[in-house]
Amino acid sequence: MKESENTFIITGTPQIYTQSSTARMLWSVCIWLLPATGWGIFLYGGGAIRILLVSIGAAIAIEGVVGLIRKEFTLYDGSACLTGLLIGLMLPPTVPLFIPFFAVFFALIVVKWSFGGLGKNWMNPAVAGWAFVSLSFPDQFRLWLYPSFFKGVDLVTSSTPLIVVKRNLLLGISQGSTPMELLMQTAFPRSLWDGAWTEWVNTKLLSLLGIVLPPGYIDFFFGFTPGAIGETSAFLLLLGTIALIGKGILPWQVPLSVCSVFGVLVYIFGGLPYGLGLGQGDVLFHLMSGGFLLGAFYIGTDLVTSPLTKAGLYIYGVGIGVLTFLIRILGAAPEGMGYAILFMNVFVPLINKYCTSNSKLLR
Amino acid sequence: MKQVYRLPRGGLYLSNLKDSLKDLPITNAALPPLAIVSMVQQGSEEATCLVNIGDEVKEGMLIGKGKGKYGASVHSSIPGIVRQIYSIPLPGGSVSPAVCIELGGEFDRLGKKEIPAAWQALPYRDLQNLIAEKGVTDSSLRREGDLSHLIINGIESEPYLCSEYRLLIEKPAAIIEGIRILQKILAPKRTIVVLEEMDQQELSSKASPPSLHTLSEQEAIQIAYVEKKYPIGDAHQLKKIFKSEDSSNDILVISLTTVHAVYEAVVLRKPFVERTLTIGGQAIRKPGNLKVRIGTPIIDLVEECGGFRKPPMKVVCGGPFRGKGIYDLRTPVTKETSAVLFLTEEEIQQNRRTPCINCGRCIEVCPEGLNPSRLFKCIDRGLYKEALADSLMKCTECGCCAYICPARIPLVQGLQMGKYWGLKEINT
Repeated sequence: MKESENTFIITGTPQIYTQSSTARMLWSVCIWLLPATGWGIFLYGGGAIRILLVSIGAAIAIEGVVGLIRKEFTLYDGSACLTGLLIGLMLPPTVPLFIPFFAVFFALIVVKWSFGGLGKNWMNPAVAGWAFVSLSFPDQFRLWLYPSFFKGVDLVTSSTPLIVVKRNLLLGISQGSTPMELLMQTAFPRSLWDGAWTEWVNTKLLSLLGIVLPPGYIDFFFGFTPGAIGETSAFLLLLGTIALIGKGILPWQVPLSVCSVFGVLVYIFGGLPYGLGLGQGDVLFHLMSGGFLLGAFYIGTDLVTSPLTKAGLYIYGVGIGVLTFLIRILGAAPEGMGYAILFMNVFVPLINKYCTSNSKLLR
Repeated sequence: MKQVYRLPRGGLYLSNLKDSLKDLPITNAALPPLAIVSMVQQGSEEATCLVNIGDEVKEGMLIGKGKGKYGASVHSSIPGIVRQIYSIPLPGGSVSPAVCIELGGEFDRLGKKEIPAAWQALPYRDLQNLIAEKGVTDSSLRREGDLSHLIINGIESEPYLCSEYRLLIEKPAAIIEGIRILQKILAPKRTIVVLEEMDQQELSSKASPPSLHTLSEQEAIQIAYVEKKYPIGDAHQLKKIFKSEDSSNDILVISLTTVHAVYEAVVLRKPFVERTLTIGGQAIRKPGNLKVRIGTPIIDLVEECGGFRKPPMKVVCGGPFRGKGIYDLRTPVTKETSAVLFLTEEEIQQNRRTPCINCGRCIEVCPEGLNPSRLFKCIDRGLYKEALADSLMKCTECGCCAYICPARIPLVQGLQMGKYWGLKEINT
């Protein structure tokens, strides 16, 4: 018998494992964020590329240095790269390059590694990094760009739709018009395609149901609006999420509960600040703007900082939905998603306490 | 409409790993030129060796006497001459003395017509003795007194295993006879044969007559179906499922392999010298269900199955969840070897261990409703009492949590260790 040819490994039970692994899951999220990333680069060109390079590069460099100090190689698990990518996608395309660096530094060093690395951070590093820079350098977050192929104009500074709407609301300009009408009134630019596609959708699809889609939403859906690099295209974000949920990588409970609770609240109460009645809120406008989908799909679903059980995930999602509604509709901040996630991160240990086997309350 | 019992919570759907093996009929493996018969079988106490080097042994001759009143005996699986008596490693790492027999001489049973013996007149105590004498080591058969439920476990809940399924398809008459013997010994109020959910047609079209179903109508045998989910075939889970129907918890679960061995011991008066097992895994060229003599070295089975297609990374005796790895292909088949799996790297998916990422999948799949992640963290920090307070002792070590863990945390080993140290801490 040729013994030397047969060397087998001996391990404890079980002898086989599922296909999925930490690294495979995190890299898959990175990969399915690439369509939205590509869209951001297509819209904003070199500026977006530089910001993404700095944020991802800084993430890899910082993780590598920490790895050298701790004498363990952690870059393969993809978590640092994902944090860097998410931070890049959450930033406006005009920020100076020290902003992504600071955000990544705060995310990885303060939020992640000071608590012991992957799995031990109790706040989502990417949102925490974004919150750190957006609060520390608010001036850098006032400059947004019209994408290059808006009606004739080439990369002109602007504001995001939510900021425009919020500003007009605070000035008390808009009584009795929906946020989308408000944008139209203030001559917010629309892409060349919006009109034609809206008409096509109305005549071919929605006429069967007797609904009319007002202009403007097609731009929001495909991402022809000013905004952070990766947050504008609802379509591409949705595409990646469907793939990730289908593969069982992201929990579907969070997006479902965030979107439905937020949607219902906006539908009922969202019209009030605009001088409209109850049940007049513009759900589509709010779901597709201000990084809502990026937050609900990719950041709120972060496994480390979300609860362990299904019941917990629903509670967490409902909390994010309610808080986003409160901050965005009633508060002064236009977006609200990031802060809502950070706020709910803090409650995760408490949610876990009541949703795991210790207590049979919410199993 | 037939009722399908479900696992109350947790578990894994893995039946696809069985599909390619289910339809392979049982074939007889070649006799081993050298049989290595271990004196420890099925984890029972070591039998006293009755032979010496140079002795001639016959097929089915008693070579090891079980200790105690009902100690199960060990028989020579082939005729020949005892060449060596030495210690061998068993799957799982324990060491046992074994008798090494070189094939030679006449066969007393092989190739001869088997004449069924009458057993109906024997008292249950004689039947029990006969079964132990013939080397069936299931200690639960030795019980006395009434039993409320006798559950015949017709499911191999672990992936890959399907030799019992083949027994059910190919030898229903023997199984039914075996169940009758058990009914006589144990006098259960109800006998339930638990089968995996499948369509009635599948069973009746494949099984040779008489089918279990037609007989179950006349006899006091009830057939129950359960879903195809690991670990529903564990005795513990089956007891839990059928306990809810009846307040009594006097339930016994017996596997089909044991039923078949009981049939052979009582009706054919044949010692337990061969069993059916599944040869599986992507590394082996021709997987199959084989009837193998106890003591056959696994290397012989590799040759029988056409050698390796790819180099195996692990060789496992038993199922992939509770089976044990071996490092030496000369390790022999024992009475408890339900399968030998030659697993490749792609099947194992070992991957690197990472920190826990709180995905909560271990909680989702735990059939006992535990929080394996938290238990592991407690044990890791030495908080054994806290782990015990979190019902650590309910863990059955089925391995679902460790299988699903994307961080490849050794949860089964961690929880085992926690039980050991936790109980030690309480007792001192």
